[in-house]
Amino acid sequence: MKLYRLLLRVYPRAFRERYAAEMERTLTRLMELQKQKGQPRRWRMWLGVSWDVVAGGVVARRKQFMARARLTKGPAANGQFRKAPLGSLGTDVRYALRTLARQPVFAVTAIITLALGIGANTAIFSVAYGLLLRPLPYPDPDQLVLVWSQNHGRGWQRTDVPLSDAWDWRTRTKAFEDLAVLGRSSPNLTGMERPERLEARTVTTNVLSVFGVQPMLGRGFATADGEPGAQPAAVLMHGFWERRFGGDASIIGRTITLDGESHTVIGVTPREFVFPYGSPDLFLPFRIDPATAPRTNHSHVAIARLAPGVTLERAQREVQEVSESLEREFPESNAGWSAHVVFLHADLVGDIGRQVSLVLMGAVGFVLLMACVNVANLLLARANGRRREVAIRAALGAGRGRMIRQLLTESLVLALAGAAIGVVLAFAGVTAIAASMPSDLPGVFHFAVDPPVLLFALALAVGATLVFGLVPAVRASAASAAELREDSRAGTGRRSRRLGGFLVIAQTALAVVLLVGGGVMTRGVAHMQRQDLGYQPSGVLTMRLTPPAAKYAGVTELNTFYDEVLERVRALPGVEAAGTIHTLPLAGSNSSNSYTVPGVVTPEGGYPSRMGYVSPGYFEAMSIRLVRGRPVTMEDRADAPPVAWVNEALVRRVFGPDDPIGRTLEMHGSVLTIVGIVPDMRERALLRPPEPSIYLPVAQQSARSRSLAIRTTSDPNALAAAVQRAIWEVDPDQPVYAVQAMTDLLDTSVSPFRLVATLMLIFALISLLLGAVGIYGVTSFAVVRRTHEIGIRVAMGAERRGVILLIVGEGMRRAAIGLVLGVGAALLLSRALVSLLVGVSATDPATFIVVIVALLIVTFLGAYLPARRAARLDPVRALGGAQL
Amino acid sequence: MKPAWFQILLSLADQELHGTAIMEEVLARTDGSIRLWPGTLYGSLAELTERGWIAEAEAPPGAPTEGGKRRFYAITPSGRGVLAEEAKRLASYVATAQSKRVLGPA
Repeated sequence: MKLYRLLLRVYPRAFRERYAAEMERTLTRLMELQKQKGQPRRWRMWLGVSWDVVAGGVVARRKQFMARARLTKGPAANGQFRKAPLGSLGTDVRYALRTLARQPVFAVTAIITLALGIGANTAIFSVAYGLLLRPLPYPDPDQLVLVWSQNHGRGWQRTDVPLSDAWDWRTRTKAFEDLAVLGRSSPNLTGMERPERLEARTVTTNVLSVFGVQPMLGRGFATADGEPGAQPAAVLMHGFWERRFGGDASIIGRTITLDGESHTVIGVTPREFVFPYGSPDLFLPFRIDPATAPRTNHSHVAIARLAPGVTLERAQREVQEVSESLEREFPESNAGWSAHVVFLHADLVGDIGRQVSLVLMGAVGFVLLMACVNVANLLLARANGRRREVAIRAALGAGRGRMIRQLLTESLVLALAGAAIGVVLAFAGVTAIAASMPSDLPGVFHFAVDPPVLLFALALAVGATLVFGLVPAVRASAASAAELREDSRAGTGRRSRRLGGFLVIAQTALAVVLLVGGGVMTRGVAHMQRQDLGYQPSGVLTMRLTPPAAKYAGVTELNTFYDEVLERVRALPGVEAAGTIHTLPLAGSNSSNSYTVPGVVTPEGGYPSRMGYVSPGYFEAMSIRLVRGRPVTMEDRADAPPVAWVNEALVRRVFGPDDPIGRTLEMHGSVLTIVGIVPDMRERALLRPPEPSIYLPVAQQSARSRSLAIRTTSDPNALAAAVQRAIWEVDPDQPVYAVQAMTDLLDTSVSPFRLVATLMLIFALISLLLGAVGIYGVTSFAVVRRTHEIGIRVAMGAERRGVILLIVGEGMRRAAIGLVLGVGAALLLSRALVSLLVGVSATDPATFIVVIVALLIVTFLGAYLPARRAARLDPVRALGGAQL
Repeated sequence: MKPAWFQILLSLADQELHGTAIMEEVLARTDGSIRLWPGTLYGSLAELTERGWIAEAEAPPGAPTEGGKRRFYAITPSGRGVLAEEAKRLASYVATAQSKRVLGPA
């Protein structure tokens, strides 16, 4: 509404006074009505409103103008004014274009500078807009929330939920219109020409209606589809349907075989429907009574739609009440567990996404500010040359306000031209940025230079005009008749020099902040890639297998299968070692458990620990050095005594200086003997410090899906085909998926940070360039204005070196002030960056030193070049009034 | 006559309304297909008042003020005349279309 009020200023005042308040009320009501009818495209709404206001405003102004013209000049004068319905704007624009065309170098420099600033801002804004502001592609997306489990006692947040608890949140509260629960499964599709492991979501039958989606073909799940013993049904995602069934509409009613069980395809989702988490191929209903699901099984996602008028706080309160009563009813499973409601959008963006967007917006904001400072500087220099022109116009009766408006129009023309080029740059920028976005970014976000972004660019151009144009315009218009006297030097003294000095200081400070930001990020990313992970990712090939339960029923069958696969893989030429783990490091597992230690006082509920289930050969394949103890062997079978390997973090937490080898851990009733210690590893995330972890022989567990880690002697990807063939020798129907080098997996974790670092560095370099140009400009300008003074100095016998020192010294003094301010600001701001990155300190001295040296060099060059010219000055010509 | 004007005059034909109510009436009557944006609406109201086709009316007693003064408008006899003429003109077009069986069996 504030924006609308601003837009209304297009109208003449009389019209505004009469109608503005009612117009606002009508618009509010209109928007309400639109909203009730369904979700309007917000930007379209605004486009309509803007057009309406601007068109209406122009008509009203024109009418007013004609009425006035009729009053003052009589009807005869009408024709001559018809060309300029908006007063003198047209004249001003034409005059501005003429003036700028006369100084093409100035115009082009200013426009390119502004294009860089506005383009960078527009590109980053479209990313930030796509991430933070654009509504998610669901009806009424603001009502979609997620409910997560949390356990404060164990420090677990945003934990998956049990189906049974989630169903109680649904039935026992009134806050939700509806709540759906989703789990993951990976059925193997067989019975067609090529077996494939699919990505499925097992869901409660209301899932599509919670998202607000209607199937494009067939029907959605009915309640009966989710009852125990119901005929298995499946709803296909549009992409899977096209990929695997060629978009054949007759699929409805046919059956597909998943894990050996035939499922009837009942529906296909529309193309526009994007699933927020991962990209599943199909939905399958649970087919169990949610109340009977185990309350300890935290492995589902609960997504809900708030009932109309219900706030997040109220939903949180109601869910909390249910959680508390569940704690009383099922103390065994639910003690310590509570629930947390968050908006889907906020959850998808995450804290990091929000912070990164804001940091980048801040950085480009600085770039634009520097561009504005440079253009302001150019305008000031130019204003000086135009003093005579301005003075003549003033003498001929032009009012001050009128002249400021004329000068601002010139600035606006520059800014709009800059914005136009900037938008073109932004198109390229957004395409490049979107292409290097992390691959696990939810598909619900998309980035484009679209109307809201263009509106932003336009706003930037207008805002920038005021920032860089106002001061020069006000100053230039102050020229008085005194200017017209021959030889006048009025006004070239202290004040304008102080202004130039201020600009240099501001630019230096801004450049420091950007350079430090870029430097800290770049070093942080380099550190991420170099750090000791605890394992050696290069040379390792990975892939994942999920043998179906129909074929491999129990642990024995699974172990036999994997043993045989490993045996064949190890026999391949080029393979040094091979092993399996239930989930690879950095692959997103957060399986954890709690344990107690006999003889050590443990907190209630035990210590939390991260879990890894590994086969013989895994530590070797990942080059994980055993700190102490023995490796995993084939003897660590299901019937052998249970053993465990722990990492150094666990040893530090529990045993301190004591020797842990031979000690025991208790985990859910089973007693594990510690037989080895491994180093701390970065497993959950590159930036998360390693947590206490326990590794158990996978043969003593029942993990069905396991990942292979294969150390190769050469390029791991070259071996992929041979390994797959080896697996198919064991079972030709076994799908092999997620085939990639371990370094690629690592790269997925690093790439978002690298993207941010690259962008920051680009901005920093632009800022350095702008800074150099700015300092050069200010110094040259100052030298020109001091021609007379320098001439006198030289005539009085000053040496060339003295003159150079005088000018360079002044530049360096200002740079020094800018450096101090910039370093101070950078120290404050880089803390925000460091919160994104662990491993680099905010006061990383190397970065600061490099930045300071770079800026001193730039300042020196920027000041030295004009100074040298000044020192060559011929005093006779200088005093004779010639300018450099 | 501009379509917006016709719609406004039509809503005022049988009642006195304020601006927002006119917008709502038109939106409801045309099933959401004609949306009078505020600029169009108030621009037209100003123009129609100037032409003397509508006039500002006393707010009916008990009308909601909603925190500010609302201007109510009533159609004038000359406005009614213009409206009737326009409606007749449109009706004659429809009649032609019907006679040429553009609309299918009536």
